[in-house]
Amino acid sequence: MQFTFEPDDLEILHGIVEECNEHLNGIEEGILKLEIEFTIELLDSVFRAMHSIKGVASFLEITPIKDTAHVLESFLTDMKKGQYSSSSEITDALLRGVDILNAFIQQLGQQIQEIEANPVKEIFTINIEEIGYQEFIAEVEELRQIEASNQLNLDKTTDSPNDNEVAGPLKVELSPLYEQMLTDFIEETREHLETTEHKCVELEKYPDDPEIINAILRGFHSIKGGAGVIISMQDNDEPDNPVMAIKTITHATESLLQQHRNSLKHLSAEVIDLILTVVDKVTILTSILAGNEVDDLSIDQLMKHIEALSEESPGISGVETRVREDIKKIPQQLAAFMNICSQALESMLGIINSLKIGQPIDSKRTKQYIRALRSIASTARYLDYDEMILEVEGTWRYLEGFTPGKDFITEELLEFLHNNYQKVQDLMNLKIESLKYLLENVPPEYGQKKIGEILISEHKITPEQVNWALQQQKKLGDILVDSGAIKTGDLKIALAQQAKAREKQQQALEQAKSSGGELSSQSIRVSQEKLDRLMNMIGELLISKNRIFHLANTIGLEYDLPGLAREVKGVAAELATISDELQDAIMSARMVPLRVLFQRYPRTIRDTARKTGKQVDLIIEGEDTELDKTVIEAINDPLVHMLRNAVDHGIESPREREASGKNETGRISLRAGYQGNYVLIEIIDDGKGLNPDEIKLKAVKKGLISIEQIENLTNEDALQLIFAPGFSTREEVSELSGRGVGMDVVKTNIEKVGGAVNLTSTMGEGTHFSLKIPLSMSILRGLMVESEGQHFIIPLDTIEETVKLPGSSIRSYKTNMVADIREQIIPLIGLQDVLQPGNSVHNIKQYSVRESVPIVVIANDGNKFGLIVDSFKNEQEFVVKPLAEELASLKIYTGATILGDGSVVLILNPFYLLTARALS
Amino acid sequence: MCLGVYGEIEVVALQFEAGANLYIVKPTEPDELIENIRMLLGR
Repeated sequence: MQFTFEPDDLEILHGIVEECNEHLNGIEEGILKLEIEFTIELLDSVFRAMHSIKGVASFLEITPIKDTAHVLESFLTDMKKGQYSSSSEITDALLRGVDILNAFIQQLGQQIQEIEANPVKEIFTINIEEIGYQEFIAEVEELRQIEASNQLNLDKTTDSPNDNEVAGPLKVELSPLYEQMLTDFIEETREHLETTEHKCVELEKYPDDPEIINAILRGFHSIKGGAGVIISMQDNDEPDNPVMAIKTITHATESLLQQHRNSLKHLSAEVIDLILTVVDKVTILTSILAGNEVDDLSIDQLMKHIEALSEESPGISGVETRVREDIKKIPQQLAAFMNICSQALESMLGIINSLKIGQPIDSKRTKQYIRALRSIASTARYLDYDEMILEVEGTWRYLEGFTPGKDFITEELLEFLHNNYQKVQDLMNLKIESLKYLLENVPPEYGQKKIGEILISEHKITPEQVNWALQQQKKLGDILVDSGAIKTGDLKIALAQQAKAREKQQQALEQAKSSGGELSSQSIRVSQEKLDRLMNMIGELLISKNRIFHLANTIGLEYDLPGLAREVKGVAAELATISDELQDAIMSARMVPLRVLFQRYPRTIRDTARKTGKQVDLIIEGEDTELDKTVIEAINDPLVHMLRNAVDHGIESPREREASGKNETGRISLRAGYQGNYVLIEIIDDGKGLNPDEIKLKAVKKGLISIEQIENLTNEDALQLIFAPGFSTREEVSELSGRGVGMDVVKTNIEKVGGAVNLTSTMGEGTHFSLKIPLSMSILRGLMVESEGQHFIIPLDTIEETVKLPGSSIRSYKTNMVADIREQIIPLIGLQDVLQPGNSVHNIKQYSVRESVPIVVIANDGNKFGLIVDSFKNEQEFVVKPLAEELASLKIYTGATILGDGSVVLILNPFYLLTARALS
Repeated sequence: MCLGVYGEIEVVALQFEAGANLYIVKPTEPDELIENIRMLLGR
C-alpha cells in the first residue's frame, strides 16, 4: 500500500512512530498482565493506549495501522463489557495484533529514516506491506462473533446477576500521556507562534522573500497538525473546543498564505496584520489550554476576515489557479478518466456476472474487484471528486470485511454490488459531462489569463475600469459608507467597539504570554544527535583540561616557575569544576530508565515458554535504574538471548520440576541496580543449573580445550567455557537458542560497551548471570600504568587495590604465578606476558629477581587476580574514544584516549584479562 | 498498467485478471500516458 505525504508531514510521521512505539510497549506488557490477572483498570489503560494509536494513525489516514488498532480496540471494548475474559487464545490474538502494528510502525520508521537522511522538498510516498493485516482483522472479527455467541448462550442458561445491566461504551479518560502530549503541543505551539511573529516583522521588510512566507506557512501547518493529533485523542469536536478552534483558524490562514505564495505577489500590510491577529488569537486559545480563563473564545470574526481576504485576492485565488491548470489538462484528463473508469467498471461487471448465490467468496476475484475500485478511487482523488471517493472506498471497506473461502455469496451481497456498480457508473458519467462542458465552454487561452484580462477580452469592462478597480483598496467600512449602506455614525460606533475588543484581546494576550514563560521552561525535545555532539565536546574539553594540568607541571618543573605553575593549576582546577558539572548534567540528560528494555521481556519469556511447553514467571526489579541510551541499545540483544536461554536451557519442563520437588512454574528474576559507576543486571533462574562436568566434556569434544587443560580447570572456570565460540551444551540445536554462537556473542557485545558477564551455577538449583555495565561509555576514571615503556589505562572501578611486593614473594603454583596478598593467595599475570604472548607466562624469574613488583589487583564479583606492571603512573579522568575498525576486534582494549601532551594511550579491558586467565 | 496491441474485451479482461489496473492499446501519446499514470496514482 502506498501513502502520499507532504514534506511538512515528515515531522508528524516521526512523532506518530515514536508515540506508537511507546504505546505498543505498554500495550504488550498490559496484555500479558491481563492474562495473569484481569482487572478493569489494566484493561482501561491498554484500551486507552490502543485508542491513542488509532487516533494518531487516523490523523494522516494511515489505514492499516488505524484499522488494526480499531479492531483491537473493539475487541478490548467487548472484554470490558464482560463478553469474555482473558484467555490464552484471546491473548494470542491480541499479541498478534500488536505484532502486526509493530511491523507497520517499523516499516514506517525505517522509511522515514531514509527520507530524513535525504530530505525531500516535494510530495513523498511511503510503502507499507500489508503483512496479512486484513486477514487478521477478519479473524478477530470472527473470534469476536464466536465469543459473543458463546456468551449469549451462557447468559441464556445461567441466572447471571448482570442480566439486566447494559454495559455502556468504554469511556476514554484523559490519560497522563494525553496530558503530556497536550503540554508538548502547548509548548510547540508557543514556539511556532514566536517564530511566526518574528517572521511577520521580517516579511514587512522583505515582502518578496518566499522563504519567509514558507517559514510562516510551516509554522501554521505544524500547529494545525499538532492540533489534529490532540483532537483525535480527545474525541471532542465541539466548536467551543479551543484546540478545534486552533485547527480551524490555522488551516484557514495556511490556505490564505498558500494562495498568496502561488500568486507570487506581495503580501499586503492588511494580510500581514491579519496573520499577526491570528497569532494573537492562537496564543490566547493556547493559554486556555494551559488553564487560563479567557472571555472571548470566538473565532468567527477572524474567520470572516480571513475568508474576506481570500475572496479579495483577485486572480490569485485557489479556485482560479485550479481552473487555470485544469483547463490545459482537460482533454488528457477526460481521456484518462474515461479509460480507467470504464475499464475498471467492465472488470467489475465481469466479476458480478460470474457470481452465483451460495458459492464461497473467491479470494482472487475479491482482490480483482477491490483493485478496480481502487483505480477508480485514484482517479477520483486526482480530480477531487469526493462523492466518488466516498462511494468506492465505502464499497471496498465493506468487501474487505468478508473472508474468502469462509463467507458465501448471498443475494444481499449481489444486490449491493449491482447497486454500487450502477452508482459508480452514474458518477462517472456525471464527471465526464462536467469535464466536457468545461472543455467546450471555456476557451483554453483563458487558463493563462487573470480575471481582469478575461473580463476585458469578454468586453465586459475596459482596461481603465480594471485599473480603477485595483486602486479601490478601501476598507470595508468606507465602501459601505460610500455606497450608502451605513451611516458614518454607525461606522464610528463599530470602530470604537472594535478598538475596545482589541484592547481586551491584547490584555489576554499579555496574560497568556506571561504564563507561557513558566511552562515553556519545563521541558524541551532534544535530538540524540545534539546530545552526542555535546558529549563529544565535553570529551574534548576534558582533554584540554588535562593539557592545562600537564602545562602547569611543565611550567613548574622544566621552566622552574612555581608561582606561575600554581596559578595555572588554580585556573585548571576552576575549569575542572565547571567541566565536571557540565559533564554530569549532560550525562544525566542521556540517561534512560531500563524500563524501556525490561518492559519488552515479559513477552519474550511468554513466547519462549509457550513454544517450549514450560511455565515461567518473570520477576522484574529495579527497572527505574538508568543507563546511557547508547549502552541501553547495545545490551538489548544480549539480554534477550540470555532470557531465552534461561527458559529454553535453564528451566525444566513442568513434569521434571514436579519430579524434583519444585514448583511446576519456573521463576526467572531480572534485577538491576547501581554498583559504583556500573549498573549490575542479574538474570537468576531456579532451573536445573549447569553441569560443569558436562561442559568440560563438551568443550573437549568440540576441541575448545585439551584433556590436560581440564585437569587444572576448577568447576567455576569450566562454566566460563560456555562463553567460548561454538559452544553448546544441548545435543540438538533448538529453534529458540543454542546455535552455539549465542553466549559468545552475548559476551562480546557486553564487552564492547566496557562491561563484563559473570556466571555462577549450582546443579539442581539454578543459574545466576550478572552483567556489569558501565553507566556511560564516554568518560571514565582510570589508573595509568607502564609496561615495557608503554602506557596503558586501567578503569578505576575494576581495581581493588594496588600493591608493591618484593619479587621474592612471587611463587609458582602449577602453571601459574601466585602471591600472598593480605593473607590471600592471588593468581598473577604479567601485563607484558599478555601483550606479547611469545613471552613465557611461567617466566617467574624475571619478576622474582626484582626488588619491588607493582601489582594492580583486579576484582570482579569475587574473582580476583593481580596484574604485574612496571610502574604506576597517575590517576585521572579519561575520555574513551572507540578504536578504529581494524583494531576493534582486539578484545583486550575497550578503547583509547588522548593525553594532555597529545599522546594516544590504550585502555585495557581487565574483565577480558580475567576471562583470558580462565581460558588460558 | 499494461500496454498492448490488441483491443478486444477478452484481452483486456485477461490483463485485469492478471493484476492490471489499466490496459492501453498502442500507440499512445506521451502526455496521455503521463496523465493515465498520474490518475492511477491519484496525484
